[in-house]
Amino acid sequence: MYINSYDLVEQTKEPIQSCIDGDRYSQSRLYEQYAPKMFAVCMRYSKNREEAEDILQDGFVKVFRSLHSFKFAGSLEGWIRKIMVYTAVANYRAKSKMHAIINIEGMENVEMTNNEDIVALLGKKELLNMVQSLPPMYRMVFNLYVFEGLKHREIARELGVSEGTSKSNLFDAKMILQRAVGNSLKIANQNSLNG
Amino acid sequence: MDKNLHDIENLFRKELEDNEETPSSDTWNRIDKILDRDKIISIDKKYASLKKIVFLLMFFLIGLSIYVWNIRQNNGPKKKDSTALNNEAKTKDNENNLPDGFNKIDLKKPVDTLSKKDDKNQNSIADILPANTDENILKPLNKKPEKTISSDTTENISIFPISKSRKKSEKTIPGVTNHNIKSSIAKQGKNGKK
Repeated sequence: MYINSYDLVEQTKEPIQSCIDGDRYSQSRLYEQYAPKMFAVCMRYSKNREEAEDILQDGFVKVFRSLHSFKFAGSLEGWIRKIMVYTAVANYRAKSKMHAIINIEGMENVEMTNNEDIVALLGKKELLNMVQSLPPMYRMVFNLYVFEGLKHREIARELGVSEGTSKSNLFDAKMILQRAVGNSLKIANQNSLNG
Repeated sequence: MDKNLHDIENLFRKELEDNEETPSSDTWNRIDKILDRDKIISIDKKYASLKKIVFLLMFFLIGLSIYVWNIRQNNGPKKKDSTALNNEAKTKDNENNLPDGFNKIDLKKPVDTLSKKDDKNQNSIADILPANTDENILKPLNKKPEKTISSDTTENISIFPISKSRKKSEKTIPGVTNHNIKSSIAKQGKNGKK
């Protein structure tokens, strides 16, 4: 069945208006609809589940408070996701003074195998843990560049760093992840051989 | 090395892009509480704005009433003047609208000069007034004196008719009645006989 974009907008307008009016049932429905996807986004930007839940909570509060400014120009999901990302960035910037700088020198370089093999061996959860274990600044730059598609100039502006710092942080983040994947693969291979 | 890094980028993008995770139910409860607090704050804000509006309205009304009162105070005598002027205008209008035969009376002129003109007016009033009007009202105006009093006349002419009873009373002495006179005459006769 073909549904055009106008119908979709009309379908979403009513519950959104209810959310704007403060109808708690509609708000809970909206939360239930988008929370799993948004929580995954928040998980990538945070070091653990608790921090991700804090970002999700702040993000959704912002969503409900500023839902009246949604113009139906794009998708609601994209709009909510943007709010979540900027909430995570704001959260990072608020805590940025507490973050320690990690020296990645001396880490072992690992040759990568085929992506399908890695996924088969590691799984999504382990990959997410690798991102979460990145230093906060690297994690932010990696997420903004890889998942949000921002340019280094934009990342630098968002995080309040220079463009060069953004580039080097991205490079370092990739290096860390590559080594982490390599190490995990080794362990997985050993386990499979032992098993 | 670069190829490996690019692969890492693609690997993570592909695997984690559309990932979904279920948050704990506690998260919604916390959001719910925050939204409740927001609602209370928004109600307070609503009332605060209402209070502001009421205060401003009161201030405006008080200011307006003071302003109006001041204007009335300042314009009071002027208004009186205007009412006096209106009255004057009305009287002028009335004078202008006098019926035919009526002349305007100039109050500033001496009375002697008016008398001749008034005679004319008197005649005209009698003509104009309706027939059933009380004649007594017109009498002093229409009645002409039959005789004029002059210093040359030697005759005693009474202006107003004196009644017979009044003439009698003029002759009587206060305290003496006819009965007393008769009794005193009788007494004198008796004494004379003796």
